[in-house]
Amino acid sequence: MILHAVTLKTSITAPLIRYTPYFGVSTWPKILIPYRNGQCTVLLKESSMLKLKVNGKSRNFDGDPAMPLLWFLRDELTLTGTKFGCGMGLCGACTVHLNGEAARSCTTPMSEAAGKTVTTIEGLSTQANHPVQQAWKQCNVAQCGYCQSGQIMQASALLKVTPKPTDQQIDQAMQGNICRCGTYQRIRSAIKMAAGQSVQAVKA
Amino acid sequence: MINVTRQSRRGFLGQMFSAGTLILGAGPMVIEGAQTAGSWMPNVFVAIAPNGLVTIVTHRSEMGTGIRTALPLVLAEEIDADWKRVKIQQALGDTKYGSQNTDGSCSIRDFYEVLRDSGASARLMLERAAAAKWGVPVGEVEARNHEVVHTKSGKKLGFGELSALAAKQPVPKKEELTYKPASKYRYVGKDIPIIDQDDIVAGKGTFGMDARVPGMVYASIERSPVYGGKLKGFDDAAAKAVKGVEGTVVIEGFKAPHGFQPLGGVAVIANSTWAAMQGRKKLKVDWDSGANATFDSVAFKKSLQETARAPQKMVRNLGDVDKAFAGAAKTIEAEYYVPMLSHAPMEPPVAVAEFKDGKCTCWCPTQNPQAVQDTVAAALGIKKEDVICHVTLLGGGFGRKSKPDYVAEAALISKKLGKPVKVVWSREDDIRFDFYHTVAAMYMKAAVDAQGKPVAMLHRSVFPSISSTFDASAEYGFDVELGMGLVDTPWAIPNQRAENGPAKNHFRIGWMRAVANIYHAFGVHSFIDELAAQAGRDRVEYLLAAIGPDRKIDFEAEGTKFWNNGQSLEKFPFDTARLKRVIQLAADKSGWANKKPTKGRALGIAAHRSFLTYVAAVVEVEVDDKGVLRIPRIDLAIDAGQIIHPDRVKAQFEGAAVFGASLALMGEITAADGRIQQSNFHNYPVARINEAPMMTHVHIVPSDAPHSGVGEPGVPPIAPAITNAIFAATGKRIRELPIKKTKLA
Repeated sequence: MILHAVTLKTSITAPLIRYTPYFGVSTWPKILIPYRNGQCTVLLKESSMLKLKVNGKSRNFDGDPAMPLLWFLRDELTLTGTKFGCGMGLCGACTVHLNGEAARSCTTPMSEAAGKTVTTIEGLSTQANHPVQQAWKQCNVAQCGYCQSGQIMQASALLKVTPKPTDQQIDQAMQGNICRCGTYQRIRSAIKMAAGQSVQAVKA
Repeated sequence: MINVTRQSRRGFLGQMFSAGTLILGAGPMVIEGAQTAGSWMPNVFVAIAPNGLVTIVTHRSEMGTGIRTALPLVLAEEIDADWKRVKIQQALGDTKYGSQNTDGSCSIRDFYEVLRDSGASARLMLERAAAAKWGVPVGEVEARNHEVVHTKSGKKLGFGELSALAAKQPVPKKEELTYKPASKYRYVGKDIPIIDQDDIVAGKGTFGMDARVPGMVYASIERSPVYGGKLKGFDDAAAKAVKGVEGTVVIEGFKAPHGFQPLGGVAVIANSTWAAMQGRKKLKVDWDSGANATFDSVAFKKSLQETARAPQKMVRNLGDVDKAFAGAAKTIEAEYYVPMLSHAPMEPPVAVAEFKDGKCTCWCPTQNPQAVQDTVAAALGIKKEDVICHVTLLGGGFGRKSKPDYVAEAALISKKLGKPVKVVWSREDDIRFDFYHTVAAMYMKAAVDAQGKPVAMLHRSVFPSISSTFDASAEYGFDVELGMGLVDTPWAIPNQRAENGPAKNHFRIGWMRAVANIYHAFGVHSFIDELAAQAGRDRVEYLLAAIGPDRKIDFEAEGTKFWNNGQSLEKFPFDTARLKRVIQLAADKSGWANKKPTKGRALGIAAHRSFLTYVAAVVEVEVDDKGVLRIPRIDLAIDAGQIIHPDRVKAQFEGAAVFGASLALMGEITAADGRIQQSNFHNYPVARINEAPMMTHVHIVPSDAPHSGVGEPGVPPIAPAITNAIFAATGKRIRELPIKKTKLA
């Protein structure tokens, strides 16, 4: 059980103790227990919690609304498949789907994610068997693998909108995702394979 | 029982680049965390459980080369295990494995034989155990796919059933070992998917960034923006007011030489990564920036170039260059320049450490867990054995993660706080506080005869040295750097001289994928292309002629000190025939003969031996009317000796082409007022999918030669092959990287 005990400044002169009897890091208190002169009163209060859906599950958050979604996913939900690479939306390692579209979670504040549906690499498929994931394995794309969650999320978002992308469309969609190992030509081949296109020289 | 111990006569610098020799001897061993009780451990690399599970220990770090798969495959092959019943276990840092420094493209070179012997030894013990049990001659039994079979009767016993009996067998001597013939290989030479692939594709691979320990706090560290700056004072009141921030911890600055010590700074401790980063932004820190505060990379460049124009310390001397220059029909001079570069692995440095009861346990993406032990032990004042280093997957390394300063940071903070700590570097930290690939200025001069054939050649190179990491006063290059393309040029030119001039470091200088080969190959292979162009000759033909007759270059006889990656020239000669073979192969495969340069489209070639491997690159470039450069195709021909895993070898060279193109096209780190001016991928760009070479074809020369390097040697020829192609396509000769500084239209 996670206990959050925070002393708040309120109009009440004595300390106000917040107590949460719930499991899980994302669940914040709904019950406030003001404490004065040994007397306790239980108050029910509407919280200012943000709600969002992550990989099909409802999640709540009432921390800093400016905190990027990336850190909520990684530090609070321990969904570490989504990676930190730059913090500025420049490298794509943190790519997730936000209401079905590719988004950089490192520059998406929680306030913006509120009310939306988030899909991470862990939720892309049940058995890591999304056509893009299968093609990734077929082409042995990964080297170190760190950027590949983001690449796969970006590629799967591309194929939803553009089922048979051209090289130019792949360049356009994938240029926000850096791979320092340099797996780009296999990424291109794997996208085409997932799209059911003929793949030349996948293993050239 | 077999134990693997390390024998090395080299000093520390040598060890960093070369693993030394491994010998098999007697001694006890343990496999950490071998999960099945009663397992038999014939040697430190393998354990066989009664249920048949074979655990193979992988002691090298996985940063994308596939080594975590390739070396265990060698053992599995030789013991004849069923790969599906093999579990791979990452080793802790421990000298019992020999060197674990995954660096210098030497994992297969140095450990192929060790893993093969480990497998062969365990197999022989299993076979002897089965023969003894059945009362038959050992010659009638053989291991086949996780079982030992009596060939006459067809009787079988599984590895698991035999493990307890095999444990009682004496450990065979090396001379008794027999090896599987290559014709029977099921894994070696085949493209088995890397063991981490499924996890990576599912987002489940555990990188350093993903390490997590109950109760851990997070730290983000503010460091001196100038190398060597000292902390004067700081105000953390505003930082502590940030929600989630628990406090601050001061990390002492390093004592020269900096080695792998932390830079020092003020760490903000918080209950989340985000809170630590936010708190850090509110810190007010006062630095005494010291002597480097006036450093300016533009002025420094000029000083390096001036040094390169004057005679310097001779590091190779053949014939009489001065006399040849004086009497030459024509002399040609050129200067080349390569800026500082940052590794920028996709995963920035990160580490979790927990100091408890006098011991420190670390979880980190490191290329060198034993250096983690040494560095953390020194920082905390504890014994090396009391540092337990767990190696996670590395989100790229490229040499950055050989230097465990970031792990020592986490360890120091954990000791102060008494709880586990995760130190997370931002991308800005990574780019501003790297161990940079050094800047280099080169001066070249050649004398040519009436036909344009070179008769004398001078190569002069000036660069702040990696040596400054370990000796603060070092100003000259050391054997390793000089032996990466400066003293080991392949030319059959009677008069040759190489010189090295002094340069001081103003930052931490480190080694990055391919190291000094990057700038030396750029200078040397641009210059030979210039000579070919001035002679009006086909550049492949000219290159082959400059290399001259087939021979093994006898550096010793000519009096040149040549490092040769710490290996003997007997086992790994500099064989010009192999270099010429890769040049011819790359030229053939690229269609060199039939693709004559046209305006805006041409091929370029460069060939370089590094990490004992021969590589030739033919690069095709297109430059449009606006000067936009594209690289539609690269052909890389390689001779790396015998190959364990062809697909991963190809992948390494495909990646090297991108890495080489990236540094050639856009890589540049600069500084003003002692401060690095780049901070993230907007101002330190690396190649993206639309900028990288579109397709790299890797052509492997079949070879029986000893295994040589794969991870790095693809990088050096790329930059000169690109600029040579640009020259052929546009007439513009680029002598300074990155290419983006030159307008191509």
